[in-house]
Amino acid sequence: MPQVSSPPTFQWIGRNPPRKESIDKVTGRALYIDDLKFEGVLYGKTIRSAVPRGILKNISFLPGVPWGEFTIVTAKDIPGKNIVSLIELDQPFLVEREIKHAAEPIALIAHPDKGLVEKAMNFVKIDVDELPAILTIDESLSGKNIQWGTDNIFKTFHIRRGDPDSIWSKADVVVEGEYWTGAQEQLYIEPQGVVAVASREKGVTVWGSMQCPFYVQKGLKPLFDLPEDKVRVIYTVTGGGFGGKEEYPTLPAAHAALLSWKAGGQPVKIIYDRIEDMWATTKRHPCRTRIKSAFSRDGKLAALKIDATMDGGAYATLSAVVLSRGTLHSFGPYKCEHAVIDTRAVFTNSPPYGAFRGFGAPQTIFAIEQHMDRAARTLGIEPDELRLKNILRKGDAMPTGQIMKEDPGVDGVLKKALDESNYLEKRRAYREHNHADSRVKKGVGFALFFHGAGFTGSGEVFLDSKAGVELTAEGGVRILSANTEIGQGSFTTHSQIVAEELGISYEMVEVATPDTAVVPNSGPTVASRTCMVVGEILRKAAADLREVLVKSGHLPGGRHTPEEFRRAALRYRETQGELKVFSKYQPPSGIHWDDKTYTGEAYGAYAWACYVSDVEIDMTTCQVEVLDFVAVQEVGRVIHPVIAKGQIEGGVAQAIGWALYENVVLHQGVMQNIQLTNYILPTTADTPPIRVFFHEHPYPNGPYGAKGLGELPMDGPAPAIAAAVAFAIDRNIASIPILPETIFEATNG
Amino acid sequence: MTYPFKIERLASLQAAARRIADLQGRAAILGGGLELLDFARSGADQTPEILIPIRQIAPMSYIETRSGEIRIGAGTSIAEIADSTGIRRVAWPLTESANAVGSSQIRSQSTLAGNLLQRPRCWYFRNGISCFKNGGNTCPAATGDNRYHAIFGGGPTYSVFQSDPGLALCALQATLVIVSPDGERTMPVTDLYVDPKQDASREHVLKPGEIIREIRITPLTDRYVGTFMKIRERSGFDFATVSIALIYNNFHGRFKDIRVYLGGVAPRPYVPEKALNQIQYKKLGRGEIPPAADLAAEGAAPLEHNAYKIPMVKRLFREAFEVTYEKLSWRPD
Repeated sequence: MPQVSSPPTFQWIGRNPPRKESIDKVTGRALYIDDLKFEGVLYGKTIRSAVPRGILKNISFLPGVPWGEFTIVTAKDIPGKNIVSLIELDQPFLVEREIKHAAEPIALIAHPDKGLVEKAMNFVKIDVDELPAILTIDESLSGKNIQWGTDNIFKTFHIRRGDPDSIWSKADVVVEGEYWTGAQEQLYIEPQGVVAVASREKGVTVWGSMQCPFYVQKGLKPLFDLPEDKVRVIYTVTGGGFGGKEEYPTLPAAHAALLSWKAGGQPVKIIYDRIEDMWATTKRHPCRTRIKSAFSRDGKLAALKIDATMDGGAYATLSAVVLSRGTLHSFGPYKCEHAVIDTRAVFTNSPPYGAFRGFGAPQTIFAIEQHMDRAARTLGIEPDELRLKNILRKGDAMPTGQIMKEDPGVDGVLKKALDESNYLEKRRAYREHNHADSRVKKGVGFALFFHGAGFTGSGEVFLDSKAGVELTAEGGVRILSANTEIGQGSFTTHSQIVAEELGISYEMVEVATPDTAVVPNSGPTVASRTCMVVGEILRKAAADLREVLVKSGHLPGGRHTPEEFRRAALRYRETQGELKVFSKYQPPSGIHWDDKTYTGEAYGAYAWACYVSDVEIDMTTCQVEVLDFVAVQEVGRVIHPVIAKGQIEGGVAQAIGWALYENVVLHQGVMQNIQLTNYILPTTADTPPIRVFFHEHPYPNGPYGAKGLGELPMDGPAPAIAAAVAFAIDRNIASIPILPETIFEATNG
Repeated sequence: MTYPFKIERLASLQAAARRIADLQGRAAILGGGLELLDFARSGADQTPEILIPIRQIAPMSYIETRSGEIRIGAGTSIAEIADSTGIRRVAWPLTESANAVGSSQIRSQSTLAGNLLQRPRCWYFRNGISCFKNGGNTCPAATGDNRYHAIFGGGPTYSVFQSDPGLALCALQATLVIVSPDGERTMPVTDLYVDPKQDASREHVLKPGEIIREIRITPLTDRYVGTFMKIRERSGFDFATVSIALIYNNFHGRFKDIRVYLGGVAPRPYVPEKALNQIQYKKLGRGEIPPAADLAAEGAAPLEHNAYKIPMVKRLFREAFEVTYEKLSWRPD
């Protein structure tokens, strides 16, 4: 069990009831999308571009396949608008004329025989006039080949506080560095998959593995030119998302629906295999960050200049908001009165990069934390001492101008992590060891960081989320929310919050399947917002439901037993009929954000954390083994300690992969190592014991004080591991993944 | 998933051997089916049309001791081998190698003979790029990305030997019992693998219709020490970058009867002769190990991207000797 700083004083909060979906999953009753059987189903496949850029000349269907039996869709079959509705309207569902990236969808085919449809893919010939492609950030910025807007730049952000330029010449020490983080594949266990039934008469219904049913609905309406009530999207049990099922499922959903529409309403199933999933779908944005900093000789951070560029790929998708989060996490938990931050997301002819746990923050956090270690090395100050001289305390301001109204307790988190990991003693011992032993080097390092929960700035206000609860026929309560269970435990934690608020048993709460025809739009299941933001909306809805029962005289005010609630609920339903109570998001007071100047309170709440990694490097194989990992975080309130710990452990393991193993090899802008034999993931045997500690400092605007924590564990491990490796080999580490080749080159170069 | 396989059930191993010999390349034995499924999915090889399930024809999955030998049915799963206490007691390098195979799912499904006869993991071959092994007349790895390829004995092909149990069986001097249309014969496992200079298109000498029925091992006595070790990119689900199987004994205070094979570095199990000769018959002593290890990569001819394997070979050779040395029942230092 993870250590939680305060013992639970609640009936359900802070306890570990069995997960709502666990019995179904362990007994195999849970039905994933590919388990669903549909009468007369056609299997759909996507024909994709083999080149990164070109003009589509012709699509021919070669003899050797009974094409007459196939349903075939190209861009000209689209009944409505051929544009994916996201931030910018630039991405087509199917290429009409210009191909912008390899693996871009060009045509769709479907047939009742799955084997035949796979074979048929080899009999489709795509004629393309190739055009010069942009394959790197530098090529994109060079201005020689403009393909997006006037400068290939999707979005820029600029934050300024004070006047850094007035500091450089006066500073005792100026430290500069450039940092690189590579792409990463989400690698949910269940690949992308959907089934669609679509016709003009009956509208469109889609079942699928996804995070955000309402995003898919929003994408399908203009595609078929249908009103909202004619497009229904139903979540099916989903085997992981990590952001990869945030915006992407709209594409396969649209493709299956287009095939079904053309086939006269026959159901069409599209399930990507692992190779297609890795080749064609979104990944984490690669990011290059340059940092210049000025320090006084005793280690006070005087000025900071950060310049980060993310590769957005061939369409804008979510790059602007990923970049925003990266920007707002780029300066770390440090006080700096003179800071300037410039960031941009640029176009390249790669498949679009997209949402991935952390959403831009892990990239810039890696840079600032490696930079602080580099500065410590330059200044000759221990990294922990340098941090303590500069951390944010009560009254300090972030570069955005956000004032710490109360002490965020960063030093407490740091101290706890260093104590639990025995950091200082290991540091001494490993120095001696490394001096004596050339075969195995040892290192210990840490990262200090924060993660803002929920949408950035005014994002939650624009979302205007709505969620609710209703009485069931059995006298219990059903949660009505669009937020999906993707392994993170949202059905369980939401049920705990509602049970706590209503004073009923956890078993009396059930969760409606997220189905756009049944549940209100409570916003997407992203951004560490599901527990904190939607959980609080549900808590309020539950409070309102109780009030209705009390005011209508069915429930006594004050305390009641679960059984009394059940009887009251049944009586209410008998006499008054159904009862559904909805609540909406209300922004916390005192939060102001200016999207134009990028100043104000970017996030209502931050989770604060310090992660420590202990590594050993075999200098013959140049392999890094993480021996111990300590994760200390302040998350407001832990709703379900086992689930919370699972989130941290899973995130740390995923980030170990990003830091040490996962190398997305690109050629012509598209991933080459698209199998699990050559895209190396850490196995459980490569994952160290992960020791998780929670500090609780309840956040007044989260349910029972909870803040978001889902993305937090993705932020810290890479910089902590890189710091430990840098210590072990006594070299700066500036890029990840830290492959054996990286160590070899660093130590033999 | 539907694949155009036809299953034929035959009455005896002999009949299966004859049928496969008659059909030449169009038929294959179905054991664990892992390789067949892989190739059917990737389309990188000519997939056989007819499959002959082998495990139902005759007892193929057993581990027994007879005539002073351990006899292992060719269809025995790698997991059964890993779990066998008999093998652990008298042929522990095989146990160690079995535990290093793939994942628990793969170990449960794969057969010993299938593991011995697995095709190379070369990424050119596996991804259907034309090469000697799929009907072509080049080896793209010779000049391409050859980081996982051979540093010894390569040419004209450079794919490497990848069977972990195969390496251990070489060190154990195992014998194979082969059924063919003409009858039954035995051969040392070390003769199973073919030099690419003689036949670049395949990795073993068995002709269509020759079926491995049984693997026989002479038990190690307690004078012997031995181990199997493997360097890989992750701790599971992975093939060896470099592997070693080592067995020797203490013969009146000397290193004796050393059998050492390296995997992942050559098209066949590779014997580092120079290093072996350096330490064979030397008086037992820790000090003898490093000079031999320094010779372990003698004769290496690395390609453009795989010279990194040379220090790994030396290091693994040294570690294998050091680890086993500690297990000797008597040692002078």
